[in-house]
Amino acid sequence: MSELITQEEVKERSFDVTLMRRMLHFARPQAWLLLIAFVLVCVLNAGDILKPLIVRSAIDRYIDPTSSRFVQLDIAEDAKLVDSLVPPGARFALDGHSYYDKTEFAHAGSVLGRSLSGTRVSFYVITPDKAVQLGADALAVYAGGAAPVLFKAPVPAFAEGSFLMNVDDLQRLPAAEIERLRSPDRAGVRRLSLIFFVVIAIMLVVAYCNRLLLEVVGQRVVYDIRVQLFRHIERLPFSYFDKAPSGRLTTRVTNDIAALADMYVNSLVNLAKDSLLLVGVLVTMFTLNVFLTWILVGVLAAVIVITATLRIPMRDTHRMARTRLARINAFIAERLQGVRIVQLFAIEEKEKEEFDVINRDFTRIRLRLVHLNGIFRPLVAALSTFAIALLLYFGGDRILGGTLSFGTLITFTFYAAIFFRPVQELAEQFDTIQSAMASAEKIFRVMDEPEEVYTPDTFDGRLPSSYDIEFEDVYLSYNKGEEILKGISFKVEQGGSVALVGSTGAGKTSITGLVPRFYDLDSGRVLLGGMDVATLPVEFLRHSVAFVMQDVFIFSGSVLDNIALFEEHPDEQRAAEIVDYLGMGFVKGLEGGLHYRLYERGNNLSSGQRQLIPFSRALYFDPKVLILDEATSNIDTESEAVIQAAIRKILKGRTSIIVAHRLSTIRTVDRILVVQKGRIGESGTHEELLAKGGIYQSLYELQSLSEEKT
Amino acid sequence: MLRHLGPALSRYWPQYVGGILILGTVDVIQTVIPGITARIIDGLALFKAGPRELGAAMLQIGLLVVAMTIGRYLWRYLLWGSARRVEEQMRRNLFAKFMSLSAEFHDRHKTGDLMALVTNDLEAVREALGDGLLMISDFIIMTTFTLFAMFRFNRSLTLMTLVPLVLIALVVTRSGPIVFRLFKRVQDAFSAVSDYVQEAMTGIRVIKVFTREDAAARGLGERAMEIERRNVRLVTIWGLTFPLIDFLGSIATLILLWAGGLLVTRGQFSIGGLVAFNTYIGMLAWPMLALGWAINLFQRGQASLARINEILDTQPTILERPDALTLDNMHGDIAFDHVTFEREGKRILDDVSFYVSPGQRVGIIGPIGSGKTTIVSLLTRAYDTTSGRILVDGNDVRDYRIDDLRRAIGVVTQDVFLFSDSLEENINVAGLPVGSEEVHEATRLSGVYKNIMEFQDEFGTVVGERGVTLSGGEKQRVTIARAILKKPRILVLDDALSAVDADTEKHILDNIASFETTPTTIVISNRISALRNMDKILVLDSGHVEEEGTHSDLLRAKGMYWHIFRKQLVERKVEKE
Repeated sequence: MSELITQEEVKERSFDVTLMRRMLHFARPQAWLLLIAFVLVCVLNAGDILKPLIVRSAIDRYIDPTSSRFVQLDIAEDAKLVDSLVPPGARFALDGHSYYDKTEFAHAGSVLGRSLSGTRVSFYVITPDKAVQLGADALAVYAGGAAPVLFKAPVPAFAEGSFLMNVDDLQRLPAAEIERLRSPDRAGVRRLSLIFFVVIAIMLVVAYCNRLLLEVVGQRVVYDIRVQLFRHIERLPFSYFDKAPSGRLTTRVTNDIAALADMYVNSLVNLAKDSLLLVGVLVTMFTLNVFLTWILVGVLAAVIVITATLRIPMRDTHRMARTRLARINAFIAERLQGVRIVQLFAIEEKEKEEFDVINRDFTRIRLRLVHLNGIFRPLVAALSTFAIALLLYFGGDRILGGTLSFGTLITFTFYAAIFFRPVQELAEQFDTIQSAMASAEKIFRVMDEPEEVYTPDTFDGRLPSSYDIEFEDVYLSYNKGEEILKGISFKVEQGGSVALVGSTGAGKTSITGLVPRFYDLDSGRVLLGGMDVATLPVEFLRHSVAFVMQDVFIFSGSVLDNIALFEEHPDEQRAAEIVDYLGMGFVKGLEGGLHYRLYERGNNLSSGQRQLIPFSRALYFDPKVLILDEATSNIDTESEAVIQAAIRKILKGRTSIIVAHRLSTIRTVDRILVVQKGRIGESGTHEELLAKGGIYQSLYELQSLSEEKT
Repeated sequence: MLRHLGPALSRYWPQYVGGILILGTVDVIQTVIPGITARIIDGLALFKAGPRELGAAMLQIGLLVVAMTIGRYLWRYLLWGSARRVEEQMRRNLFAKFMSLSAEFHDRHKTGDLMALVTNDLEAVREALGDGLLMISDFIIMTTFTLFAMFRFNRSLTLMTLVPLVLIALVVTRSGPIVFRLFKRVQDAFSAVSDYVQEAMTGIRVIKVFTREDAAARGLGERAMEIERRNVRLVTIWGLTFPLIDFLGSIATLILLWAGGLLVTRGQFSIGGLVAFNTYIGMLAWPMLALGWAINLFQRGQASLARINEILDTQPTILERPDALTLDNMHGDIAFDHVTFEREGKRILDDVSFYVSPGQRVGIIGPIGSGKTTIVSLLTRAYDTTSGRILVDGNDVRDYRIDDLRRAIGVVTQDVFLFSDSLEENINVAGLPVGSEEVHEATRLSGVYKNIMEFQDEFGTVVGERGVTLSGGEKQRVTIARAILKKPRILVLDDALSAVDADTEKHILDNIASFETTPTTIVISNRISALRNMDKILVLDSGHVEEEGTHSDLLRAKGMYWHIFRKQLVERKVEKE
């Protein structure tokens, strides 16, 4: 029926290694570009990982003044006792107070068996580089004396030359003084902001280049496959095309390859990108904080479980929706094509009811999909919000404990946002690859069909020097057991002509196809200039033998294109001469003459005009042998006269075999063969055969009647 | 614009209103969470929050997340579900319209063009009603509340970070139509390849005969290269869109880091605020993107809706009179009274008159294009006459109820058309309340019963696309059974026996003649053998009745009929030899 009916087959193919290898083989010429793309992908991933780290650094080093946290011992007498339990690197004394690392302090308490009373204190740290920026004079203001006191950092925990100030003291300073004291921090924020900008600018450029590059690679691969497949199909034997519908072959070269394009352009590289990003983020997080990473991994596991459980019903429902939609569209298309029947039988109402059923059914499936999506997407979103809550809860506890910085916690919330994305996308890529595999399988099935033998192994470089034709006891069958030709023998001298006549299906057209070797014989030989055509190259045969076919095929393109058939630089002069010679005066009348554009199937020519095109085509290639399968369709008398004249002209001086319908044609040939059920029944000249009074006489009578009045 | 959509939409307005309200609530909740996060982080910074506060915040967020998840499910179901239901309604209306429009409409519109309406255009409308509406609501509500929450934190910082976000909306709105146009150009290039390959595959024999394989492949190469070129062109714009959106989003983060960070060092902003703001930026980016898309969706949806409306506005040209006559028991006499029919300026029938009495059998013969089939089309009111009248049982066919008229006439059309259903459904296409026995009887009369019983699923055999392929002769006889089953008072066989042999043809015609009450029968055929026993034969030539009479009358007249007769006589002789 119609190709409009979009029967969508369920496209699925389990992962197949050999298939994948063959598919990847096509990407080989683009290996270098792919490598570059891969490098760019790594850069992008690095950027994604780097961005939160820059933010972390800005917060911890410059923005947050409370990054250093200690415990101040409330009861001075305990100092000696605690000092003995806490390693020197984790304690220091300042301004008469002892300060301890929080964890060590708690540890000391547990060793002593009683809780020690202490107050938590944050110190604002002026690192040596900041101190240099501020200058000794600015720092000297706070040295000694008044309440906010700056201390030279006393322990190796701080870099040599660091200064400390109690954060509470810092915040009690007048605004102008805070401003001055923290000016190195602001410089730091500005510097990191600039780096951040550079990173995202590079990412913009790289992402864009990468996208372009992948498109180019993908398109090139697809171009190669498409042209290769097309060339291959063209070289398949004639018998293949008798069986394979042209629509299906077209789908292979168009839609199936488009499905592959999607894979080459998107899936393969994205697959790499997503996996790498997942690993990269994971590694970075583990180096920052192991515990928080485990929390995110836990949530990721939940996301994977949800994706895995819901993906299958979602995919199945999606497929069901697709087939239901295809059914709806097929139903509508069919009722549109058969609308006459619907109206003749006055069954519009019944059809509407039937349509309602499948229409409602489709909506039901779509709603189920809305339902599944309604669970899946919000659930994943909920999990990522929940992940942030978990980070806050456990991270907050650690910040209080002094073992985690704000910057790190915030970095984790950033990572949480990009951590779950690859999993979702990986699932999608997998589906794309599966459907690409289904298409690839169909493509390879065509590619594995053996091509026609263009140059036989037995060809020794010798070509015939004359062009007479001889059939020697030829048997032919297209399907096993159904013989079309049963022992055909005849000879045509060089420059001579024979006409084949007989009823439809007798085998006339089959005989003509054997000289240019469209089919292989069951037995017997066909000789051209004394040489078996099976030993000659196809190019030679088809160049020497022109074949004017019964069903005129016109390609959309100019008249010239149709005469010179796709030739890159057609000889316009020659085409014009041929057109004149054959009396195709109508060409001059067309707008643009030889350059007039013909529609598909030549619908903008009359049927008489259309029939002349193949004649000019045959002459253009100046063949030595001409095979003419005369058209039977009726045309007006004027065109008829032109065609008859053209036939006489193209036969002149060429060895010809003609499947003849017109009496005028039959009378021009040297000899007539009457073909009957795959055999040659009678043969002789027109007069001889008429005198015989056999089947030829009946055929002749019939033809006379047809030509008498139509 | 909404004249046809309105009724469908108004049925679902509570769902739409409810959906948008829930969507708004979810959006509000979403803006609350960063506030909680900020409070906790600042509490931690100042040693004001302990494990208890952390736990409380965690519980709060957890409850809000649960509420959000439920809300999100509900609005999806309400908004998207309603869009699907409206789509269903629209598809139903379109299909009903297609079925109701007259032959003249279907002659003018290709199936493919009408299919584009039910597929592409309907989808565009549904997307505008579902996603488009959702995105617009989301944009308005989300943006309003998020901005409100951000303003409460810090005004100047809000305004600064907003600049790149607004640019996102601009990028999407601007690039949308360009991308759409470039995308169409890619599709055109693809169609060009598709057409080229289709043509090459159909004409593959010509290509091979003239050994033009290389030249044809070059032609494909050029066109395939055009796909590549246009795809790359598309990606030069389209490929920039997402990196640019990412970039603009990051710029907002950058502004926050830089300006916000400086504010924190001055003690004018908190770290918690920074974190909250960063979340808000993420929440604003999506609606900005959505706004751009929604605008494009609405534009496309509007264009599609206009096309759909145009079809829904079309009225059938064959109309029934309000006081149309019912036709219960037809006698079956037919009179063509000076009937002339013109189409597209061409005269198809020219002053045709003839009379057929009930139960009479009439044959019509004549060359292609002589107007034979038109006679059937006018009788069944696929078209109406340009001038003159057609009378059935003495009344003008235009006075009857159309369904009654068509039900009373059984037509077997020239182009056999079967639906991809089972044979039983195809034969009883009208869904008549008859048993299988009657269906079987009809196929016996049309001589296809035996063939059907040879199929594995017998009458349940599915034919066509997804089923068994029937031969031309089998198809014809199935369609004859389909017409016979109606027990019509007028039976028309329009070239319905061309694919069956002469003996079967005679057998079928005899069966029909032997009905209890013989229907008025019109047999259109080019075969004398099918017509020679008719009560009357009309010979048609370019729209007028050239000869009329019985077989022997016409042979005596030695005119057109006689000529055809002689030719077919010899043809049979040749066939036999």
